[in-house]
Amino acid sequence: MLVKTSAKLLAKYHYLGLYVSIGAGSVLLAIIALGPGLIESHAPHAGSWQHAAFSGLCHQLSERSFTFNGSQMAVCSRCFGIYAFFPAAWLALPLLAGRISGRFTGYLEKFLFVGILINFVDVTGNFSGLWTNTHWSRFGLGAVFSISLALYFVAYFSPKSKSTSTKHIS
Amino acid sequence: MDTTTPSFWKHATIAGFLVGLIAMAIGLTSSYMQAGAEPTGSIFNPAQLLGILICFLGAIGGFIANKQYAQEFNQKYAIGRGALIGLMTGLIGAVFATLLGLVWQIVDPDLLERVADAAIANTEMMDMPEDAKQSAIESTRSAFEFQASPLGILAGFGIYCLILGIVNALSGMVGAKKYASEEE
Repeated sequence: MLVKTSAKLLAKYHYLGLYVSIGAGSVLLAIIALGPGLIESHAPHAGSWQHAAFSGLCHQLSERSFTFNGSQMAVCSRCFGIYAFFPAAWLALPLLAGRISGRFTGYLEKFLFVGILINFVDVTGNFSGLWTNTHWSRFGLGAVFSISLALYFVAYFSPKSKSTSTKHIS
Repeated sequence: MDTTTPSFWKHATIAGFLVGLIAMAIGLTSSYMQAGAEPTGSIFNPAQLLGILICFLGAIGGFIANKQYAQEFNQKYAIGRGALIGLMTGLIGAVFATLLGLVWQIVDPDLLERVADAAIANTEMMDMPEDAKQSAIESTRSAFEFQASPLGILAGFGIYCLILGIVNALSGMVGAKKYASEEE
């Protein structure tokens, strides 16, 4: 029944391929972000391919990163909040679309902006010595950003959305 | 009636170069911090700020490419195309990041060795059984040796393509929705 309903809902969406590929890609990123501890307990993170994979996207400072299974994760706690929550929010979009689309669509861009801003404020405040953030506060704020990012696209997954493009490039 | 679709490659290449530059800068910053850090792992505040501010900044290429493309040609298109433009931007960024990294190996050929030495020194300071410590040291040494090898560089490029491709595809979708959407 659930499978039938889900299939019906998804059939109405015009972005199924995009939904699936972004969903799969983000899940993969979250898995890699866990670091070498996913494969081996207390595996050294320095030199690991997971560490190298995210070296261009994250500072990877050990004092600002969680450990998983005894090994430092491949990304910092803030980034892990982003990579962990985005797939969950993205995959939930078809379920949320009917409730959020229409009423709140106009606020989603603002929510995304707020998600970016609060992280910037947190970083600046911590560096200035106004406050000291923690692993979990950074994780939480990263999660807020990633949820706002996923929700930004919720309108595309509303069962009532129709393609009205007149000047459409495929 | 056939309407020619403007090419996005110019914008993807420029934004991709920016992504590559940022990714390389972040990677180098992290490497120099690791190589210069004392084994006790003391914190360097200026580098910390630099590292934090540029965290995730390598994902911005897709957004920029879509913004420039949509505004220059005044085009409207679906977010799927935005994701494609972002993906290509990320891939081009991976190419540039790898090439710039290779160039930097000529500038500072001992960097990777110093990072490896620092990582091994850190491991030696850890409180763990001796055999586990030696195993970890050996794993670290092998991992860095592999990274420096041609196969390692190729593997690194492949994984860079995956990571930068996905995050820039996402930011590309944001750019497409913001600047190329037909919705009000």
